[in-house]
Amino acid sequence: MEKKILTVDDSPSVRKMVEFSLKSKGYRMGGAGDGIEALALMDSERFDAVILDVNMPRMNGLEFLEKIKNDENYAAIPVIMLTTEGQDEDRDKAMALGATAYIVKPFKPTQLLNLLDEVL
Amino acid sequence: MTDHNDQQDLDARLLEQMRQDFLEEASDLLDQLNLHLIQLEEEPDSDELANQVFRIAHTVKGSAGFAGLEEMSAIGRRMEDLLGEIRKGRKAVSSSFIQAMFDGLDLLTLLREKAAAGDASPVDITPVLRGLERAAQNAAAQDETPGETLEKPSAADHELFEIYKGAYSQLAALKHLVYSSVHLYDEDTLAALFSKQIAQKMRPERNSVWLVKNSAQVVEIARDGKLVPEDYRQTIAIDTSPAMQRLINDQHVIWSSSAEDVTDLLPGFASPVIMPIKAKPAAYGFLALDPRQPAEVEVYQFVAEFAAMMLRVSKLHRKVDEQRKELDEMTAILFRQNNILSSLYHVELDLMRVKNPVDLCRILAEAFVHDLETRSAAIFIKDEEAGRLRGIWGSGGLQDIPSLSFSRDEIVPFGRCLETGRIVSQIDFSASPLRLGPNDLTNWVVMGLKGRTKTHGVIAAELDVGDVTDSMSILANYSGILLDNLILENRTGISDGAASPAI
Repeated sequence: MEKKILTVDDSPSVRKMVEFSLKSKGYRMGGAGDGIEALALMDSERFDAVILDVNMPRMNGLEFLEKIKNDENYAAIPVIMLTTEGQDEDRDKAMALGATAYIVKPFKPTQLLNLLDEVL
Repeated sequence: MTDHNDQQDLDARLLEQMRQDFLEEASDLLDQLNLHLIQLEEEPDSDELANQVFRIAHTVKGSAGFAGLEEMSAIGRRMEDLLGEIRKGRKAVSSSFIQAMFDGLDLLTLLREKAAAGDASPVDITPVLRGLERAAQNAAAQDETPGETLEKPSAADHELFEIYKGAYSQLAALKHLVYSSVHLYDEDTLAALFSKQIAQKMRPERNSVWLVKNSAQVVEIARDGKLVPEDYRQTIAIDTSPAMQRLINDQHVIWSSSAEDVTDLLPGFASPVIMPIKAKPAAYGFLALDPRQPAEVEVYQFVAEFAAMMLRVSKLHRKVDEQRKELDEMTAILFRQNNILSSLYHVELDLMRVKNPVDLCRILAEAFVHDLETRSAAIFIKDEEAGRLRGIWGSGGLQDIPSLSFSRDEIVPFGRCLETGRIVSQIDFSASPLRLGPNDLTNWVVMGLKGRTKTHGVIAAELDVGDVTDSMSILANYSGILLDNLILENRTGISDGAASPAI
């Protein structure tokens, strides 16, 4: 059974690019535009990993991360952070909250695929 | 006594005379026969020659008989029969005819000479007679079939031939349908087309085509050549029907005599044959029909295979279409991203050369509008000493930005952004516009110009197109880092009143 990956990013282009790269490797995909949509989706479908943007309206990535790591249904799901921030502050916060890995935009698709391979 | 002897003597002398006359005549006749036969070989369909040969044979038969030359008469008679067959159908003579006739002629010649010489030794004439008889039979047989004699096909053979001929033309029509509908993608249309072809060309009592939808149900799409309107379509759930599981998952043909539950599912059908439209991993659907004749069922199985072919092609088309659409979308996205990144590169080069914060703000604000397609952009830098945010530059039609200054908490989105270090947008603020002096910004975002250790200010922008916040963020961060050095070097650059480049 192929793994199912949730992409959470307010940019439809980024979601599309991630989906395209991952689908061609056989992953099944789901997408959400912010943390609230993502929570609703995770409620109804089972995901094997989450690719999470930090800067999003309504509920930013770090808030969302905190929420799911504190929920026993989702806590075990690996999370890869995506962000434009090169700063350590964000990275440290994310790792402290339980993120599995971190990628800075713009990134190469192979980078993401390799990372996904490692965390799954 | 003498009368009887005299009579016998007279008879004998008469007979002897007739014999001598005939033998002389025969010599001529046989010469003529020889010539005619040679000519007949050259002109096998000459009626005239055939007639002449016939007359000679006839004369030999009669005269030899009177002359007591029975053997010669017999040969003459067979020849006459043979010629009779030829003349009856006005047929051309064959090589077996010629052979038999020459054999006969040779024998007649021998018999004549022997008789003339008084040689009474026996001669076996049966082979020649048989030869002539056979030739006569062959000639007679030419009436019925040319060449060899054939057996007439039986009635059962004929019926089977008709069935196969009919089946072949139906399958040819279906093959044509498959090729001509290769461009059709819509499954329902294909199902209706197929049902129609079956109804028109094969004429069962009734037929219907069902397709699997959503992997869970089978739906009746077409009946007797017509599309069933969506509201009227019957559906059967696969999981709850053992008959459907047999049909769709196991892909067996169902004969109504063996499955009562099936006839319940197909009202209107008398004793249907149900054939899966086979595919992997499960059937695409099934074909149900009331055939008129049981023999047609085999042909219908070919039909189900054609249907499977057509549907498979349509599914492949659909898949190719979807992939093509996806590729087109990706190409458009990548193209756009490429353009944006190129612009960012050029802007960053420009920013690198800047010597003071005001110029940086100007270039940044203009880049937001021209390169990132925001509707407008305004930049405010922190004046730490005064505890205020001073407007430095506004682009995209914003008024009076350099004359504005706010205390830290005066504009709530600014305060929030500086406090959290996060992008703030109109969505987070119950969709209310952002008022900056005389300007009302809608669809706005505010992000920090973050240096390595401190945030130097904020940029507020109105978004017209989506999908730019990442690029904006990259540019804003870069500017923030440049500002680390610029502000350090230009301590007096930001102050009350109009911002002006340091001298």
